[in-house]
Amino acid sequence: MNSEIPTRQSSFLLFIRKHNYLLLVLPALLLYTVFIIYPFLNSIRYSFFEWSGVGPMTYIGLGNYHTIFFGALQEFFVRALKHNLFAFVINFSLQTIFGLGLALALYAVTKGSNLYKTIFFLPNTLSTVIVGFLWNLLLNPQWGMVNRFFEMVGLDFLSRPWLGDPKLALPTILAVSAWRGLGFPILVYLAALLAIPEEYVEAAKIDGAKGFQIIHHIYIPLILPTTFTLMTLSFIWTFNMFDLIFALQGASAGPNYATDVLGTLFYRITFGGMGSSATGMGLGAAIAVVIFSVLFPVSYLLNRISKKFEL
Amino acid sequence: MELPRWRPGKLTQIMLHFILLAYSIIVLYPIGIMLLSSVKGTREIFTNPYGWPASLRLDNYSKAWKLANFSVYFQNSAFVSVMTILVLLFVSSMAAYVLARFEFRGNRALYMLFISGLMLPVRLAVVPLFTMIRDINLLDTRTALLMVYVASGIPFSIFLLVNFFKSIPKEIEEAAIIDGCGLFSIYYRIMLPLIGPALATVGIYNFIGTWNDFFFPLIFLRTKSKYTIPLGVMQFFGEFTNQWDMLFSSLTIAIVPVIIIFMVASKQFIRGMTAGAVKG
Amino acid sequence: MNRKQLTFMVVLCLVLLVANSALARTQTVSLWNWRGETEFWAAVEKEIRKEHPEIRIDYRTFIPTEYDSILMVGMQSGEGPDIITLRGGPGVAKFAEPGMVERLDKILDFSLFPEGALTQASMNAGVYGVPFALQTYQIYYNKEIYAKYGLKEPATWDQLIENCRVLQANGVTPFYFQGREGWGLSLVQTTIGASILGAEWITGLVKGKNAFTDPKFIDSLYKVLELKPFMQKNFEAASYSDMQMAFPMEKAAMTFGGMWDVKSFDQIAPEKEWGMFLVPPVKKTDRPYAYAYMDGAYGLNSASKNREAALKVLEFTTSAKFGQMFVEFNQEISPIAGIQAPAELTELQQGLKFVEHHALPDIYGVRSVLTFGVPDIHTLLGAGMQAILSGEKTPKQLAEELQTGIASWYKPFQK
Repeated sequence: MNSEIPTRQSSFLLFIRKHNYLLLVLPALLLYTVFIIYPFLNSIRYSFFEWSGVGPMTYIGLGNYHTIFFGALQEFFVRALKHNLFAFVINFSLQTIFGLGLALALYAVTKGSNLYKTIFFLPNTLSTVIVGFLWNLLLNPQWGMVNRFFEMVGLDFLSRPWLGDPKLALPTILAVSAWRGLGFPILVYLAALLAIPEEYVEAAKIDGAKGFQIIHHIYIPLILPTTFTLMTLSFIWTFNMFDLIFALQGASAGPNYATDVLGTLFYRITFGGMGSSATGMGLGAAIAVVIFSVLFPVSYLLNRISKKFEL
Repeated sequence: MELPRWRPGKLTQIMLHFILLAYSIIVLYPIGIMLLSSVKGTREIFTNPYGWPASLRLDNYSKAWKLANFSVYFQNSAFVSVMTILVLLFVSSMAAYVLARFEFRGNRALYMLFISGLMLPVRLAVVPLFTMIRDINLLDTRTALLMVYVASGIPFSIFLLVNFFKSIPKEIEEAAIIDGCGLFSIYYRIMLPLIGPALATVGIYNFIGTWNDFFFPLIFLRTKSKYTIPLGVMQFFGEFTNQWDMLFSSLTIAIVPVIIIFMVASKQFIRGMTAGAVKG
Repeated sequence: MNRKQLTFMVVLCLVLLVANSALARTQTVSLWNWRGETEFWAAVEKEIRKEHPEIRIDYRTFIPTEYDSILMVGMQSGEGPDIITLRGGPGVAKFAEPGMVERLDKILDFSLFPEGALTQASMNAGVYGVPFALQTYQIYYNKEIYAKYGLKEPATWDQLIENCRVLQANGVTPFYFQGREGWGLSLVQTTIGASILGAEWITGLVKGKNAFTDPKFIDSLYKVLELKPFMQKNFEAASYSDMQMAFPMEKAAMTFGGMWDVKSFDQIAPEKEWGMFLVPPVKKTDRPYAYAYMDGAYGLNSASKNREAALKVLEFTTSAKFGQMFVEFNQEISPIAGIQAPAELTELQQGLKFVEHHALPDIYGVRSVLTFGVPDIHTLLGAGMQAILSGEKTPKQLAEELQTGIASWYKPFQK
């Protein structure tokens, strides 16, 4: 062994020998840092540059952020943000009402709950893009099975241009995404219900509480933490929304940007679209940073709140 | 499965089943329509969208299979998904074991660093990611996909696995340490088999995600022979917009493997998923 | 070594040498576009190899809506193709400006191309791409249905509305309309605008003398709304590909369509016959105009490693032979002068006439100078038409939006 640097080497070896378990963390940490953390830090760096993706990058300080908040993109940004919030409210309401409702039903039935669970979760396993294609065919205004079904059963007024009407398009997409995603909150709520100790319910029954009262006074408070966890997930999910809108409406998020969310705005600005020349990798990166800086603190906060409600 | 504790009367039972059945139909109906349409001709899909097909055109599948070049896409998807899971399970279970079992300064911080990835949508960093993939010469390779999928799967996997490791009683390891087992062999021979169910959950979850992703193949892949299924389907939809029989049968082909895998493992998967989410 | 062996060795060496050089000289030129022309490029390769046997063409097609992003990312990473298919007008400038495609007018012979087609492949008087298709957008009608109700091709806008009334009274949907994608609506508006606004006014607009807020332009927006009662139910959700299928399946008597649609109409209903006409002007004495534009051009990647071979392919794309092949395979209009459409392709022949006699000298929508900046007219008009068709905006509001949007970057509007 080389005698010139004995102390350093041996102290390093000593550290490793003492903390050899750290070697097991290393591969995951390495992959995670290189392919997730590093690109994100780079994103933040890009956001200070004007860069079309080709050619030189020009440092413009907070210029891109100015464009987003006060400049040409303001209208788009505000609208997209509103749509994301709308999506969150709808998604969260649906998963709370139907997710909890169906979970309660599953909790109460004596037979078949395993089969139901499998069925309910099934659409979750399908690719969002493929779900998009499928519903695009089903919602086709003229040939689609949805409108033809309504016409067949005499509900003609429900035969609508679902994906073409600015007022209907986003709710329709959120309904499709609920069709795909509802299985998850159902299962999570069910698990939470099953974890409620029996004594609570028994005690309430002895006090003379009836079906609905039991639900109201025992189950609802006890599943509040679960609701918060699901709320956090719903928030993260709706702020990441992209695939389904992209598959159904393309990056232009039509009609007339009625389905434009931050994800599609990011994609359009970063890569440009058909016939449109508006591309800016720097501007796109700035949007990404904005999305991230909404997402991270809010979901952190929601998570903290949900911890408070835990028993 | 343990039995639910709240048991309403018979009438309520019937009503509940009615509700559950109604929702099952809402879920299954579109999938059923897709399966039915996939064995009809284009004209028949328009004239008779709900009925039973006049004749089962099973050759729709072989036609779509050939037209869309599905066998190649299948191999690619299978390769990328399986490799992703193997690498991901290996690296994240090692890391999760350490994070769950060893007290050291920065443990909590390291755990938070990993978990924060749950809130970082990788897609938003696609430009720098792309530039890096290009610089390390991995553009248009399946390895690039593999790396990105493994890395983006790490946060959720570690989150789930740490919880599972913590639920295992410490005595088991202590016995092994007394027996003189090394660190790696404790992890590999003793701990890993114990978290088998959790590994299965993480594996299936990531399999579904990887198999279904279209975004990264779209950005990273150039050569058609490297396309994965969702990208292939996307390409196919662009080319055959007017042949609905082909569209429905290609969708069926793309969906069926995932459905089968889920059906086989659904019980295990559902248990693992919900356990993790409730604890989190 | 005896003589026999020696001869054998020499022959063997010669054979190897020739074979080797032939192999080494095989040059693969990559070409990307969004048009799904695999068969066409195989035929082109075959034709080129008659003269340059060493050349192979590696053709790749991408989904139209994804093409631009894939190309952008590819070029940025130095992984772009040798020959890039550029979208006309701003698409050429986007790559010419940073020097990503080479200037071609000094290298290739463009004498077969009319001036008009070349300007949309140019930047600062330099030509950067070989134009390959001219598109026109017009009204298609089902000849059988028209004959059944004794209708004629309308000569004025009012006659068109009258035709719609007759059809509707007989329970036939007059127009199949695609309202789902903004770009399709932008094409419809410019097609109507061409005849309603007239060449002179449009030239004035592009020069900055007229404005979108002029009553004349607002009226052209109202003209689209005038057709609304004659569109099929739920037209807002009908996509372009729905239209391509519904019109030949006789779901309506008329539709707005591009030259490129004939091929798919014929595929779906080969037995049917289509007629086509330009949007009729308000007054009979006015001239109807065709919104004709250069669809795209082949550019040479400045970073190409196969420059020589790529140039040979590009050279072929400037020839009359290529133009002829393009017309026959794709049933679209080649910009190359003197190309005739085969007799059986009546629609194409008519399209050629539109281009020759009715083309607008200046255009204001897709591929025009007004698409060079951000926000571009094609995007504004597309989303805007959806807004006025759904009643979210009035035509006047849209007109004001167009004016301020374009004036934010287009010099002639900034007086």
